[in-house]
Amino acid sequence: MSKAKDIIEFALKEGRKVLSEWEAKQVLADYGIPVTREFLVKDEKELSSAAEGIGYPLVLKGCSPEVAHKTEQQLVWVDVRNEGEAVDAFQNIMNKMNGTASGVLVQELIKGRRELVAGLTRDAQFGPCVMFGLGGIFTEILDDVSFRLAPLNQGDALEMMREIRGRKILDSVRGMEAADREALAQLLINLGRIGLEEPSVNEIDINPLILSGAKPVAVDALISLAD
Amino acid sequence: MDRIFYPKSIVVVGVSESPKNLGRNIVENLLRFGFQGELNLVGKDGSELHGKPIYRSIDDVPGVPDLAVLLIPAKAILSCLEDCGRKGIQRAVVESGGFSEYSDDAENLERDIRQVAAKYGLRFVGPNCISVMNLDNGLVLPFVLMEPEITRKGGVSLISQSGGVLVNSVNLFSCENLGFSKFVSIGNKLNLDENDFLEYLDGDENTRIIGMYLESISNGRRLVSLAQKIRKPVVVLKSNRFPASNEVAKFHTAALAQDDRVCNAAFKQAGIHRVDTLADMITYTKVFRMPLPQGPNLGVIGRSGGQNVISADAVTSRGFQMLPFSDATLESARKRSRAGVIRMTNPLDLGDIFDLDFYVDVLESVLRDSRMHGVLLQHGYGGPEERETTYKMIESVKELSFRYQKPVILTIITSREDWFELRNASDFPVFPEAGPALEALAAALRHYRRIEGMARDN
Repeated sequence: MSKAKDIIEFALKEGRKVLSEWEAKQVLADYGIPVTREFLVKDEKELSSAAEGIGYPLVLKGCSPEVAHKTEQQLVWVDVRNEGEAVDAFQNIMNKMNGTASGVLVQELIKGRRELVAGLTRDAQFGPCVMFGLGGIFTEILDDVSFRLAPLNQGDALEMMREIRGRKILDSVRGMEAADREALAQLLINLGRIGLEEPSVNEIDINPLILSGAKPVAVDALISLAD
Repeated sequence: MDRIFYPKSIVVVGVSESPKNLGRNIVENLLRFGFQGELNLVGKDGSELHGKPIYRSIDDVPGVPDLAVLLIPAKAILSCLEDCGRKGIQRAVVESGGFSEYSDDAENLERDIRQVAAKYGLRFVGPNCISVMNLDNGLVLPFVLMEPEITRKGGVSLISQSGGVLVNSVNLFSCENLGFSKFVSIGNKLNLDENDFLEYLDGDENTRIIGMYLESISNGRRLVSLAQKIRKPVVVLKSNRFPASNEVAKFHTAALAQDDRVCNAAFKQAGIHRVDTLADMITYTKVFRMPLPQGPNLGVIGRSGGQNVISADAVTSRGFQMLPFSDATLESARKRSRAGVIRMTNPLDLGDIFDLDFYVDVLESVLRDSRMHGVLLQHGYGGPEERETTYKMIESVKELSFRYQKPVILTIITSREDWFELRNASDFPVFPEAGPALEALAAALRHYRRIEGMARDN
């Protein structure tokens, strides 16, 4: 069985409706979707070797399937620059989570000013649908997204990018590189594949999907499971 | 499906002598439209109508009709379908209302009806529908009286989730002198749904354009996979887009809400042309009756300079473009200009020329230009003096459009008196203005490209 299926099955056996970020990212990665380099650490020793493996600056996040809105609960420490800061952040998060955490997620800091969103939803009539649009806070403010039914071909995926009002965000603007549209298209196609091949996956939210240079990277991800 | 649209014999259930009886209207429609098949009548009070006996029960009807048409109270439908099934009737149209569109308690009744149908392999249209019209054989089954004078045979067929919209469409088609082949209202689509009819109409040789009015979608995945294979234009007016109108729709045909954006995406992937109004449905239908544009280059010719400017905006904003006219076209325009004040541009303003034959000459010269994919020709007149010459021009435009296999969007604004007369003069479409017609022409260009893509892939 694939790694993605193992993770989903494990969560279902525990009676869970959501995957933790760590699990969600591994499912995505298993389907060829680029995600942040990251490790789940449980103590300071693991923290130190993770930090060494990735290199500063880092992001530290409390990781638990019960926690969806990490930022609001101050469980996210961004731009952690050295070991001292990392240990502070680690202890602070562990205290706040009060034993509910499956650990702290230590991940690379993706630098990029363009935040996108990509996702998967299931429509009662049309089945699995892939979404693409502007991410971060703009997802809610501008509601600038497009949809296609899975399976997508490359033409569908490219059309989704042309369809959003903010499509110029993918061009070469203000000294930033043009987005790698083929990589984005492949990512959307792969999201559709998850919808078709993993019936237990109910919804996926990759937000933000940050353009690191030209390449899209899933920086945060939520996966909910069907009953 | 042929037994629904081309039955050799039918039985109408729910007929009486009473002038208030709606079943009578079904019989009257069949007679008016000259349905040649065998017609049997059933009603609980017996007697006769138009010299035909009204049998008291389906069991008394001789032979096994291909199709049963039921217009009886909802609570009697179940046993009536049972009777049909036992007799061996395999197709039915259930026009009666009073099901889930009316009350939540009807769910059990609907389930029982489904079971009876499954037991006998009986397929049915409805319930809660105005049902079927087929102009090919005069099978006109609505329970409201229809006028044969206002209908004309043609290549458009329509599937409608609302009987009212279907009847309205008959009138709108008449106003535009548009012919149709088959109209079907599908009501609560308990058994046969829009996909079944779409599949049938795709294979129907008398249908060239398929229109649909939907408030809910029965099986989105099947709709998409069916439509993806269809080469005929499929134009869909899908309403019930917002929560507010959703309440009305639930009451109306038991429609369920769906995310409208997903629906848009699905239609795009399926190659379905979505419209928002019945007016647009008519406009798209008119445009699809012409040859498809094979590219974006349009010539614009008009009698009014102002209208030409409006046209130019309409052309550009829909993704079309106006290439400069060829020397041959300009030369033919120059020769006939009286005051010599025509500016030799695209759009071409023919304001100082009154001879409509000349419009046709310029039109032909543009259509002959292999770089040009279509023409927007704008005309306007008021009095009866130009009536006959205008009718003659329309016929010439039609002939040229089909000879060169390029669309000509002909817009004519005329007097109140001539408005409909003009549309009756020819079956070539006439539009009031360029904008909506070009919107439809853009859809026609997408359609052309999709069909070309399908041909390449095969």
